[in-house]
Amino acid sequence: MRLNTYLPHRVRKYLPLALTVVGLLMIPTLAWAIPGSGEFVSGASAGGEKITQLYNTIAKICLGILIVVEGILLFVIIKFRRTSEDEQPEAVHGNLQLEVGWTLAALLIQIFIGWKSVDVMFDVETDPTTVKSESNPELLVEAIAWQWDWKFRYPSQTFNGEEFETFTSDDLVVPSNTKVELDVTSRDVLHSLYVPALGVKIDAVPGRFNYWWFSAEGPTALPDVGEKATRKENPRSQKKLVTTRSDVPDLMPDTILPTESPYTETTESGYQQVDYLGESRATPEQSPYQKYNAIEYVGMCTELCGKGHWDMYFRTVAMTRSSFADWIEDKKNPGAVETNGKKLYASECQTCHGEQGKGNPPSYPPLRNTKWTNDKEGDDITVEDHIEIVLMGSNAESLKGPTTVKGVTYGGDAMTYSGQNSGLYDEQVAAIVNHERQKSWNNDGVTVNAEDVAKVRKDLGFEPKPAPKPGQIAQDKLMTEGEKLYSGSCASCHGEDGKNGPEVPNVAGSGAVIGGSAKSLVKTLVQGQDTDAPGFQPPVGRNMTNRELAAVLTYIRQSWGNEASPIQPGEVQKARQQLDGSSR
Amino acid sequence: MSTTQAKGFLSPSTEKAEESFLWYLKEWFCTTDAKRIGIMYMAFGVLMGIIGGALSMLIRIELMQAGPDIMSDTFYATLPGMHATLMIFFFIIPIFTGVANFVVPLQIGAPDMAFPKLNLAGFWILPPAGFMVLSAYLVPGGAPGFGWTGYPPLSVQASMGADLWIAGIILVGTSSTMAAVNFLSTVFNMRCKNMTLFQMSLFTWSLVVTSFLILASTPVLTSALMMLELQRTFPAAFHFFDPAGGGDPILYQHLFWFYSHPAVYIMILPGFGLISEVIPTFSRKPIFGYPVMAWSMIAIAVLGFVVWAHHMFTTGIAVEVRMAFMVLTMLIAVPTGIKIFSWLATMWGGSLEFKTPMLFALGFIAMFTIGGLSGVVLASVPVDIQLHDTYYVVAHIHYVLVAGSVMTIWSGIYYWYPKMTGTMYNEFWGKVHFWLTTIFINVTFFIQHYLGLQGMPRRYYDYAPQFEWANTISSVGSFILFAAQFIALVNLIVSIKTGDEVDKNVWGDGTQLEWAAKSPPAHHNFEGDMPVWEPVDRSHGHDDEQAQPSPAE
Repeated sequence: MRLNTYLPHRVRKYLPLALTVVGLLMIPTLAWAIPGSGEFVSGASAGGEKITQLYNTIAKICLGILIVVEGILLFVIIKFRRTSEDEQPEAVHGNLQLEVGWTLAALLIQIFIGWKSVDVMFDVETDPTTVKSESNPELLVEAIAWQWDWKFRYPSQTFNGEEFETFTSDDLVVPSNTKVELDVTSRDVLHSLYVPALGVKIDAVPGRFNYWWFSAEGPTALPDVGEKATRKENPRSQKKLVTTRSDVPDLMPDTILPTESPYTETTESGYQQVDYLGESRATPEQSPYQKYNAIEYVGMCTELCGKGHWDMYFRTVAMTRSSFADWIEDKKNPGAVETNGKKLYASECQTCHGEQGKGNPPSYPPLRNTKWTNDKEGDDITVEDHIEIVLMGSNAESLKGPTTVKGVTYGGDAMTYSGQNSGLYDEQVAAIVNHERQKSWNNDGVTVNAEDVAKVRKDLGFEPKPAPKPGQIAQDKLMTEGEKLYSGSCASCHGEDGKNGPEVPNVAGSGAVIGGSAKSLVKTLVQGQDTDAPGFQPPVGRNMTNRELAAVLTYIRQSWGNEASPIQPGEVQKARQQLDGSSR
Repeated sequence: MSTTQAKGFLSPSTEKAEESFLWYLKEWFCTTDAKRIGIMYMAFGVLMGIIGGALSMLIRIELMQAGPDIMSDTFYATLPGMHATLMIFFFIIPIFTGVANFVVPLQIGAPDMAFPKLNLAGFWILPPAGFMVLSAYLVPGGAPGFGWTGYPPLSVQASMGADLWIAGIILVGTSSTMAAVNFLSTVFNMRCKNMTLFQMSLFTWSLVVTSFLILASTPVLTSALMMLELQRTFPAAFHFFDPAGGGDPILYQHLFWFYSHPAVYIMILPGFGLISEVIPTFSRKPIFGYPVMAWSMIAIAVLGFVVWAHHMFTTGIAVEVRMAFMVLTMLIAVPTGIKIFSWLATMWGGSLEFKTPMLFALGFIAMFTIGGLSGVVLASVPVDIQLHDTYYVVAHIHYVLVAGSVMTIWSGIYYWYPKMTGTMYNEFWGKVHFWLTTIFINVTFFIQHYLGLQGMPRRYYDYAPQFEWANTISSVGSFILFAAQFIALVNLIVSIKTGDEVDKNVWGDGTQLEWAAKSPPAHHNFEGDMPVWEPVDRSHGHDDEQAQPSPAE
C-alpha cells in the first residue's frame, strides 16, 4: 500500500490553501453573474427591458444554487477528507426523504423559472395590436439579408398621416417609441438579424418572412425637455433618460443615462453613435445620422453564413417622429442617386447571376452571350424585353413558361426579383441593363438611357420614375401642400385670404413674412412669439416636419400678392439647428 | 462459456511480436480483444483530440487581438466547424467507447464483447472517416466553412470538401451504431451470475442508456446528411431544403437536432456513470441513491429526445411550440440536479482521498454545475433569444463538454490506467495536470459568458475592439490549457515503463468486478472460473429508523 501514502501529507497540507486560491480566482468571475451589474445589454426597448429583468431573476436563482452546491462541495472536501488509513465510514445507500426533497425542490424552482419565462415570452412576443391611429402609428420594415450585407426595404405605406413610396435603406432607421414591425427574409443562405440593445434576434430564412416587433427607445417630444429627450420610469425606480442633448442631465437631476453598449460611443454633443461596423462599412467620426434627433444601436448577423459572416453590421437608428419624416424626405431627395451599373448589379442581381454574369446553373441562368442580352438577328428578344425583365422579373412577357439558355432549362417564373418593386429609378434600371449588355461578357454592348426605361414603364402601365434632382422640391408641390396646411393650422386666425385684421396681424402683405429671413420665420412658428398686437402667436410649427414648415412658409410668401422666394426644407432644417444651438 | 475459443489476436502479445515490430502492429490492429480495441479507440481519440485542439488554438490565436491577424476569413470560417466535428465525433464519443470497451465486459464479468469482430470493424471505420473529414482541407475549395451543424443552404452551396465531411460523419454514425449494438448485446446476454440489471455498476448502466440513444437517433442524422448530399449532387432533382423547389431549410435543422441534442447526452452520460464509480471508491462509501441514479439517467435520455427545438428558438417557430420545448428542456435540470446532489451525498460522511481521479471528479462537479446552470438560463426562451449564437453559448457548451465530458474522461483514464497497463502513473504530475486544467478551463471559458452577455456573436473572425481584453484573457488561458494536456500524455506514456507495478484492487476500495481481475486483466479477463457477483443490498435500512415505507416509492 505504498501508493496510497504517496505524498498524502503534503497534499493534505496544501489542499485547503490551493482551494482558497482557486476560490479567490473565481470571485471576480462570479461577479459577472451578479444581477444588475449591467452586463445584459438588451435594455433599450420595452421588450428588451423585460428580458433583462427575467435574466436577472434567473441569474439570481442560479447563482444561489451555485453557491449552495459549491459550498457543500467545499465543506465536504474539508470536513470529510481522509485523516487516517483505517477509517471505515458507514455505508449509506440512500435516504428517501432527502431524495424526494431535492427532487421536489428542483422541480419547484424549474416551475417557477418556467412560469416567469412564459409570462415574459408572451408579453414580449405577442403583437400588442392596437388601433392604428395618428397618435399611435405603426411602421412596417422589411429586412433583407444576403452574403454579406443587409438592406432594409420600406414598402409603400401611410405612416403618421403621411404616405410614402417604397424605398430602401442600408441602415434600419425607425421612429423611436413607436411599434415597428420587422419582416425578415434572406436572398441566399440563413442569416439572423440581431440588435443586442433592443433584444431583437430573428433568423432570416430564404423563402419566408419571419416576424418580430419592437419599440426602440430614443428621443421624442417631451414638454419640459423639448424635442430632444424621452424619459421613462426604470423598473429599479430610477429615472432613465434617452437623450441627444448633453445638458439634459443637468436640467433634470435624479436621472441615469442609458448604459452604453460596447459598440457605441457618445460624442461631445451627447449623440450616441455606433463606432464599430466591421470592415465593409465605414464609421466616420460623425455619423451621417447626427443631423437628426436620434440614437444609434448596432445590429449584426448571428447565423453562420460564410466567410463574411462577421462583417454584416448595420446601424439601427431610433429618431423622433419629426426627424423620421425628415429622413424620409431626405431619402426621397437624396444628394445623388447611385447610377453606377456595377454597384447596382452587385446589390440587385449578383446574388443569383454571379459577379461575372455566369449564373449558377441549374437554378440561375447565365447572362453572358445569351439572346436575352444580345440583339442578334433572328431572335425574338429585344432590348425592351431586357428592360422589362429587370423591371418585372417573372411577370415579364418574354419569361413566361420554361426558358432554355445554353441547353439548360430554367423555370422562367423562378425570377422573383422585380426592379419595379425594389423602387429602382429609370436611370438605375438603365445602368443595370447597360452593365449586363457589356461587350466583355460577349454581349452586344447596346446601351439604353432613362427615356427608354420610362417608355417601357409607360407601356406596362406604370408611371415613369426619374431620379430626383438633388436638394430641391418642386415649387408647385410645396404650394399645394402648404395650402392644405395653412387652411388646417392657420386660417382659423389669419383667414383663408391672409387677412383677418385688425385683431390678428395680416399675413398678406406683411413685412415680416415677405422680408423676414427663413430663420426668423421658423423661429416664430416653432417657438411662438409675443407680438405687438394683442394675443400670442402659438408655436403651431413645433410638431411640423421640415418639409411641412417649408410648404407653409412657401405658401404664405407666394400667395395673395406676396412675391417672396420659396423656402426649401433644407433651409428650415438649418434654421432649426441654429435655434437649438442658441436656446441652450 | 469459460472455454471460449476465438480466432484473431488476443492479448497478451505473442513471442513473435517481440521479434518483429510489424507483427506487433498486426497483433494490435487485427485484435478482437475488447481491451485492446478499447485502447486503440482511446489512442485514436487522443490523436484526433490533439488535432482538434490545435485547430482551436488557431481560432484563439486569431481572436487574441482585434483585427485580422494570421489567416483569411475564408480559412477561419472552416475552423469552428472542423474543431467541433473532430472534438465531438472523433474525440469525445470514441474515447468513451474506448473506455467502455475495456471496462464494461470486466464490470459485468464477461470474457469479451458479444461480437468481437463487429467491435474491430466498428473501430476501423473511424480512422478512414477521420481521414476523409480532415482531407477536406486538401481538396479544391478547402474544408467546409459551415460549422459542425452544416445548415443548408450554406452547406448546399459549399465546395466539394463538404462531400467529404458528410461522408465522414455518416461513417462515424455507422461506427457508433455498431458499437451500440455490441454493448447492448453484451450487457443483456453476458452478465455473470447474480448480476441483475439493478446490480450492475452505474458506468455500465450509462453505456446501456447511451447505446439506446445512439440506436434511436443516429439514423435520423444519417437521413438528414443523405438528403443534404442528394440535394448537393442532384440539385435539379432534389429540393428538400430549397424553398425555390418547395423545400424548407428549417427541416434540416429539425432532423439535425433530433440527433444532435441526444448526442450531447451521448457525450455526458458515460461521464456521469464514470463519476459514479470514482466517487464511491475514493469516499469508501457506496453510491447514494443507486436506483434513482440509474432512473435519472433513463429520464435524461428520454427527455433528451423531446427537447431538440430549443436549439431553434430564433428560427421563427410558433410561440406555443417553443413554450412546450422550453418546459421540457427545463425538466431535464431535475434529474441532472438529482445526480449532482446524490454525488455530494455520497461523499457526505465518507473518507475522502484526493487521488488524481478523485480530483478530476470533484473538479467535474464544481464546474459542470456552472455549465448546467447556464443551461437553465439558456432554456428560458426570451433569454435564449438574446443569447443564441453568442459567446454565452460557446461558454455553456465548453463548460458542459470540457469541464464535463473531458474532465470525466481524464478521471476515468487515471482511474483505470493501472488496470489497463498494470503500472501506476505519476501522482505528482497527475495533480499538476489537474490543477492546470481546472484553473485554465475557468480562465478560458468563464469570461466568454461575459462576452456573450455583451453581445459578441460566435463564429466571428473579428470583433469590436472593446472586446479585445476579454478575448486576450480567453486566448492565453486556452494556450496553457492545451499545453497542460501534454503533461498527462507524457505522464501516462512514460509510466507504462517506469511506473510501479500494481495489485488487483489498485485503489484498495474498488467494489466492482474489474478490481477482481489481474492488472492488466488476463486473456479473457478473468482467470479460471467465471466470476460470480455478490449482490449488494441497497435497501435504505442503514441510515434511518424513522423512514417508514412511503407510498411515494
